[in-house]
Amino acid sequence: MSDLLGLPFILIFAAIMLVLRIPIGIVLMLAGALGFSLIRGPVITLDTLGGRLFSVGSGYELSAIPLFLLMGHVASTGGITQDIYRAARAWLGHLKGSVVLATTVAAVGFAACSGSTTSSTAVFGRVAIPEMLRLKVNRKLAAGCVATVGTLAGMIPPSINLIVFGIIARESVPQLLIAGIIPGLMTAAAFVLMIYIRVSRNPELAPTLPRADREERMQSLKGVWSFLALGGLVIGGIYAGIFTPTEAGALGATGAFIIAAARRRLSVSSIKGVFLETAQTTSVIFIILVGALIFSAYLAMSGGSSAISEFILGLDLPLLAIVALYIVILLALGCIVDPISMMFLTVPIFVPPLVELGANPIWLGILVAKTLEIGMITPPVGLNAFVLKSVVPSFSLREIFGGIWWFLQVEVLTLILILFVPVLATWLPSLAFAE
Amino acid sequence: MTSLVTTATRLQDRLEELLCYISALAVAGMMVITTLEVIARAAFYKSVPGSYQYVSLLFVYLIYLGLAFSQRRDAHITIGIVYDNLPRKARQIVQGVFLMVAFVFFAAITWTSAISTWDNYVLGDTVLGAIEVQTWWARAGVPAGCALFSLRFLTQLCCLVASGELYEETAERYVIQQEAEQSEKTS
Repeated sequence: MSDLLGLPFILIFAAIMLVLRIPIGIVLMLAGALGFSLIRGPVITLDTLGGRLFSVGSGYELSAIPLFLLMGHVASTGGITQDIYRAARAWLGHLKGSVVLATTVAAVGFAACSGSTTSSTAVFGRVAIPEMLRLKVNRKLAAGCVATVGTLAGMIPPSINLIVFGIIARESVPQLLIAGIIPGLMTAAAFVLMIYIRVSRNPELAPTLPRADREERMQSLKGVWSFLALGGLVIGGIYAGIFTPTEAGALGATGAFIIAAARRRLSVSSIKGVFLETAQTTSVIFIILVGALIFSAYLAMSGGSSAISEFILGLDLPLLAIVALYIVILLALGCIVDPISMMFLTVPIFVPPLVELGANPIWLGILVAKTLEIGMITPPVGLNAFVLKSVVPSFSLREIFGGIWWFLQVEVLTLILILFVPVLATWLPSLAFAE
Repeated sequence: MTSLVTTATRLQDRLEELLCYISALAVAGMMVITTLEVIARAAFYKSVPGSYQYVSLLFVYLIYLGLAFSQRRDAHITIGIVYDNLPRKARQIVQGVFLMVAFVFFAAITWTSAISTWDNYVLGDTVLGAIEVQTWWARAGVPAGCALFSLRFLTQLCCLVASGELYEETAERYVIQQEAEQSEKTS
């Protein structure tokens, strides 16, 4: 109990540091280290940390993440984004919603090659926004679409968020990845429907393009089939249980290199660039992960985690209400904290008691990933909005968040649907991994 | 004195870039080893000895060796809700305190992780699998990365004290300069 006394102080200390533009990973490390020091003393804390940083960083399952990031970077450098976008435009440009619909569908294709929501948003910001603005698409709709559809990469395999959830909750990563397919496609379909209805009601939002002829449409597929086949191979391999996620990531990255090289879209400098970019992105993501691990270890040691778990187990509420409460907490946290820290801080506390109460862990994983998607686009710290702003500085944050509003409603509706219909998340894995 | 500082800063920059290249090589290594493992298993029903251990160990480089370079580019994820609205003087004070604490903290971590690496080297610590793989070379990535990370905080603190420039401003200048050099090379 006495160890718990320092917890409020540590939480306030961390919250203050967070809003003062101190890197999130360092905030979590410092707060965790300070908490440990209060319990064990500074010397033991530093000694423990010195040894622990190695064990935290040498995980085989986690190494799937940089490999999927590499696959995404190679696919993007190899021009896959432009190719998918061109194909989607050729096939869907004549429909109401035209390029906005095309961007949404192209994001689904790119999501199958990249598990990172921020890199998906960044590449579509570069490729789709100039085209949409040239075609006089409503600025808010364009910004909202690109900022939001990037989040599909957080659900459609190989989603990095689902891999991290699986590792923290000690659940099957392949099952979680496969479980993301239906909710991911369903969300994309809901976006398409919403865009179609909005543009049908107000055609000025996105002008319709002339219908591409058959030859142009077939031609547009030339650039995408190989990458989509690669995405299919990666997901199919995991689905069939042939590869582990790490192996799927390595094969995906190697395959992407071969395809891009065969198309003469790689140079020595671009190869160097993708490896360097992957290395940098990984260190930026993983310092947060390392910090969150240290902080959650402190939470466990202080007794904070078990106190919250016991509180949850003691609640006289139906399971659905407790899950909904967890989602609300995640949504609130999502406004200020990034997805990976949020998972490390909450999953070890909330998921075990919820599973004990009878919740399906795969369903919980999908709900968490979905909520994190929403956190990526909600103000004031909707990371995707900031990524888009950095790629397209002419957009104001007000415009981006204004544009996100319609997409946010769709996200919330699909979240509620998954909450009440768990089979949407559990059916495919139960089919693929039936004992 | 000025030339000495310039040389030291340049050396630090080069070292950070070198570690970043090593971490890029680590990801390339992870990709190649894992791909070979899958091919060997599918084609010859055999495993590449130590593939699992080498991939796990190389991952350590990927996490820690790029930290300093990312800090130089101000690439770490931050939330500036309050900070962005503070007057410049207050921002300088906040940043000064943070850089000082971060420098001391990571210097201490460098020391303890270096001792842990040395102990494991002396003890001949290995990870077991099809073959025994020594861990000290991977463990060394932690103090190496943390040392440069800590030094970067110190450099940024010195820059803040000497010129009043916030590190996000220095980083912005650096990124713009790099992009200009890149486009010059391309053209």
